[in-house]
Amino acid sequence: MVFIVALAVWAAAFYVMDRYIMSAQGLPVGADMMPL
Amino acid sequence: MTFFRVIGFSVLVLLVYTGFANILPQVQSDPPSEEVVETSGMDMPGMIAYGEKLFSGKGTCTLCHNDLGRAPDLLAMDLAADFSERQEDAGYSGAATGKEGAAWVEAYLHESLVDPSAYVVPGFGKKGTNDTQSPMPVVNAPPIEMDDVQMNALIAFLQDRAGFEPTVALPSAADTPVAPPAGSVEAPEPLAANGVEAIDKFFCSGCHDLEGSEADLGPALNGISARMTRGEVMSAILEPNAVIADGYEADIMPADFSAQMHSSELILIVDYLMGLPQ
Amino acid sequence: MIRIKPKTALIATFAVAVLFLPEIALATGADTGGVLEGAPQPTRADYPQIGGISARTLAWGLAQMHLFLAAFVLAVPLFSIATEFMGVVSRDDRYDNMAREFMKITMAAYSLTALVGGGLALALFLFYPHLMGYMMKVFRGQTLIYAALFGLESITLYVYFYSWDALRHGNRKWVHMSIGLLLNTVGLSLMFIANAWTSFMMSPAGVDAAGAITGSVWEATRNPLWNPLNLHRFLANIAYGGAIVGGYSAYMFLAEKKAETKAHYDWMGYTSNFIAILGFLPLPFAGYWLMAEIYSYSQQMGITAMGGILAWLFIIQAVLIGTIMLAANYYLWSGLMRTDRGAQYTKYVKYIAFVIVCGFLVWVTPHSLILSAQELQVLGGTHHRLLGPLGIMPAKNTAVNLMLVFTFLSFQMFYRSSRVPTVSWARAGNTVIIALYIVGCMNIVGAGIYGYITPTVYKVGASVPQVVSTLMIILGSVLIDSFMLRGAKSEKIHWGRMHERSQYALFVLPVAFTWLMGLMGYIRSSLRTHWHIYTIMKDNSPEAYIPTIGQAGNTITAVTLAFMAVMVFVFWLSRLGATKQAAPAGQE
Repeated sequence: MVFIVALAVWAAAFYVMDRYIMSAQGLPVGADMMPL
Repeated sequence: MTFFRVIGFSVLVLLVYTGFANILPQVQSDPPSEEVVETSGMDMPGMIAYGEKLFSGKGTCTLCHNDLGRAPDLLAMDLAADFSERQEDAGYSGAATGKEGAAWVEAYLHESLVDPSAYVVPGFGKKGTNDTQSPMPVVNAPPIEMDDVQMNALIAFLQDRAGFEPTVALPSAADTPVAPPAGSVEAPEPLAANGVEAIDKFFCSGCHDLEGSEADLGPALNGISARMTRGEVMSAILEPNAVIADGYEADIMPADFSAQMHSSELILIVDYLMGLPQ
Repeated sequence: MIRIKPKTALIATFAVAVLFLPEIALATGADTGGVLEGAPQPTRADYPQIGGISARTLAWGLAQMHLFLAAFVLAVPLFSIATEFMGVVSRDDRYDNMAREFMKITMAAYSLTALVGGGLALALFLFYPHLMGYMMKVFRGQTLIYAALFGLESITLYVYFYSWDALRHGNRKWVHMSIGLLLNTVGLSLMFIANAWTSFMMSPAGVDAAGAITGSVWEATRNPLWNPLNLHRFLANIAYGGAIVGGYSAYMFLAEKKAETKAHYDWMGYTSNFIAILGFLPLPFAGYWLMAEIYSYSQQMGITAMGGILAWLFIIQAVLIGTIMLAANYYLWSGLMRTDRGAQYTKYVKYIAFVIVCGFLVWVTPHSLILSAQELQVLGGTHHRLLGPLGIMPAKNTAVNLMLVFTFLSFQMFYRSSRVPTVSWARAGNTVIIALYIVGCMNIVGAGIYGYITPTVYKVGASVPQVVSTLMIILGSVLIDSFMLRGAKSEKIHWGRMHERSQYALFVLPVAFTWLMGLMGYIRSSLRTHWHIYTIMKDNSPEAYIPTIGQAGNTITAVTLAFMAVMVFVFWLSRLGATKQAAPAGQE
């Protein structure tokens, strides 16, 4: 149980970090946003 | 005993690295030979072929213009389509604006070579500059240092690839294809507009006490109008070693102002000096 | 009346000195009355030829030797003062003794560094007078400051070492550490100045296109590649110093017979390895920053390095770093046998080894190769269909980040093996850490995949989340551990209980590091291609070509062997200093 919660919390934390870093560089997050 | 084992082991490790370095493909990179290509009298097909050689040779274009995505892959893409697309692009406002067809292409390519940041293809700009700055080096400056004939050859090559009839000027006998003289500056410096600007430009206050610099490598120039005529001041600037002031040394003031200064700037400086207070 | 403790006053004074000394040293000559002419352009005939001496090889050999010694001599005081500080904080004499032993090893090396540096200067002025004349014009007053700093370094070094016992306890100890701090500041300033000259040759600033000086010395110093080079060399020095001291400890461990002394050297080896890994972990990122700045300054220079003629060198670098990682990890795994609980972690070793070896293999795989026409035909193009994609940055970054995470895991396992947590939430805590590792690694791999399916510009951007993920894993684990291991039952660490072969891992480290430094120097110098000072002063000397990797490898090996001989001499000297001959029987 602890494991699942921990996974979820960490996943959220890493995702927030990813988004923040990528947008700070002016780059999109998410494969659907990539240009041709 | 331990000592020899340790040394032996270390030497073994070293030999592995050395051996690895020696079995890899060995490439010696020589400095580019200043190949003097006789271009006077070259015809257009010759220019195109020369341009192609330059593209992967001295121009080092293929370093970035390839399929790795750093710069538009000029050799693989449909240049004709790309150029007409570029022409129609409302965002373009560079030197080629207003021209048509092959002339447009020549102007655009020339601009790309000497001022790459004038127009940056979307997606290829330096990171963080929002496509306003190009990472491409200026082609007629170091380290590439192409001269006008070579740039024309490149343009002819690309025009030909795009299916246009090359419009570049063919080299005349006057265009000797040598590397630009060492010490050449990219853009001519603007002429000084007044006396103070001219003094600044030629750094007079570095040695003479002018504009409050209090430098004393050269004589003080206040009241010079009482001591020298205009002509003498002019000679002193252009031939500084002819007459040395008491207490000062020869060979300190630059002797090449005659080559560096525009005559209008010389006159500005002389006027300024003659106008100095006593 | 406010009483300021002497300790505080001293720290404050030296902090001020630390903050301002580099400024003073680096910003001298703020005058702009420089020479208006451009850089000299000597022709081939202008370069002095003396006998059959290869000027380039001589300068290269001396420069490389100087750098090896200087890196060592700069790094050791850094962790000496850190260890000394540990000793004060933990009140454990062993740390203080080890710090002193670190310094003892370096003393002889210092004068050799200066000697070789002098030889280098002579060789440069003799064989490249035009270049050196120009460099002196650009950096004017700073060169004198550099010379003066050497004097200051000598003073602080000798005082720091010889006053160790005189300034042993209480406030005097703080005085001693302040001297150590000053020593380190001076040393760093010396490196920063030398780095300015080096980076100026690659990315000149403060001069115009012809080389005429347009700015102050500070502008020439603060050129685009200066700070990346500073950071990279600072970190690399730490890793390098740790590796060499580790080699020394390993040798002493093997040579000594008494269990107590062996235990001491085993502990010293572990600490040195720890310092080496600590300095090594952030290095890929510092190196990456350096590369990024090179690209930003001149895309041509960047591509010459990674996609052009120098590309193979980075594959060799990958091989060297792979061996370093494997050796460091092997040493950590061997260390598990020092504790009785350690055995339970050994079953994870094979998984960590697998990740590291795979990472290493990915890292070694090249992308664009220089192939002969025949090879091109066989391969069917310039890139291998399957393995080619492994050659580009997303794969490389993914591999290196995973390797670093798992190296940290090896370290964490060893650290845990000597501590049994006693807090009630230990199981949950472990679960959280495991989850952190899993999510973090998935994020690293995910960002790597993202880098593949997006254009080049995004690849570079995607590497930042990877680095941050690695850091988050490391910092997160350390943080959770610090709470979880509060009041933990510590298991006895049997220092000295190690296989002999584990010590050989500690020999691989300094050898590989030294060779790697030589290789990187070759790359840095070659980046300038046929320029002394990039775009400003051409290299027209007879040896202006970039030598082949094989030739470079041979030169680097020769200098490395010479360096090894010097280090053996240095270590022998330090042992000799402690040896006392017994008076013969019957002597008064």
